[in-house]
Amino acid sequence: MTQAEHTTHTGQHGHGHMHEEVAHGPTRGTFITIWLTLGFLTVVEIMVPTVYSAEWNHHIKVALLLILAIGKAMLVGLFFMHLKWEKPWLKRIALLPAYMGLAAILLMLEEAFRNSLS
Amino acid sequence: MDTHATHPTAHAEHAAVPPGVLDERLEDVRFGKATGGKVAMWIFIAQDGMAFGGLLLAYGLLRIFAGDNWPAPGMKPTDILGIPLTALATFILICSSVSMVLAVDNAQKAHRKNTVFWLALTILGGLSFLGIQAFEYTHLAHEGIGLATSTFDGKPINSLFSTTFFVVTGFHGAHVTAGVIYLICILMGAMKGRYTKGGMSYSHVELVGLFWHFVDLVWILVFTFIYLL
Repeated sequence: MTQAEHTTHTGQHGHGHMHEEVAHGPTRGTFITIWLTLGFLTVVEIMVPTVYSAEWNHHIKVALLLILAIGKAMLVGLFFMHLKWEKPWLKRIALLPAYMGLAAILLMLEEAFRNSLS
Repeated sequence: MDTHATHPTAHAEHAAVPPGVLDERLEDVRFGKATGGKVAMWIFIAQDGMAFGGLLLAYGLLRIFAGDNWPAPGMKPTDILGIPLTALATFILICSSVSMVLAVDNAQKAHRKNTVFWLALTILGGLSFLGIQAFEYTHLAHEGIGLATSTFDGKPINSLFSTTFFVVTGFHGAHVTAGVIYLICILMGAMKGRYTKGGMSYSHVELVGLFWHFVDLVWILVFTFIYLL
């Protein structure tokens, strides 16, 4: 269903459809679940540098910390900032800094592995 | 925004939208029920996110160039920075994000007292975070960590470490400060019942919520980059 069709559909069913949307939105239970998940992931995050403290598993530590940080940031964005329930255009605006993050990761990888590639 | 797609009968059935309050039934083709203010806030957040991205990128590159000299040969950032205290600050900020989301939820349901309570709790969380940051800065200054030149245990350390630390965390701290001021302004309006009139009157609480969650989201990344990596 296109966005235009969706809007027309909303108009045809009026108030009833709005209730349906509210039902599909986040509940207090969702917020509490995300909060507990974020707390748990923070504890895991703090333990990672201790568990992977040796020089040989440095890259595993970096990868795990980045995955955890991006995962936590996505949980905040999707659930607390309601992006999960927003229209695609708002999601596209929100994703703008992520493109920069991608550029940053590529730049840092190139910098880190420049010597080994040449 | 194009709001012509709203069905006219919806207005006829429910005409009791308080004066000065946006009609919640208006729906834009591209942005749904998002108000102009919400779209503007998202654009602001996107550009602010890029500013933080630039700072973190600069931090990452300087750190890669520094090699083992970060903050000094044979030393790790965790030797200087206190992880347990900062972890507590991180958890406080996460908790304040939950209280913020509950404030928005209550404003949406037109529950004035609950909205005020959760907003006040969010402000308390923000102030606690700032208190911990001020304590950390004072402690570091006493250790000899400064913006331009830095020493730790009497030995010189890479000043780029301390400069980037203060710039990135300070920029974030400025955002928390702005967020707390913004929240106080919204709290004063909420106490007068300005955002719990029904319809889209809650949208101002939603806007401050977006900013506050963004501040939390950025801290998650800053905490990982500066403190844990």
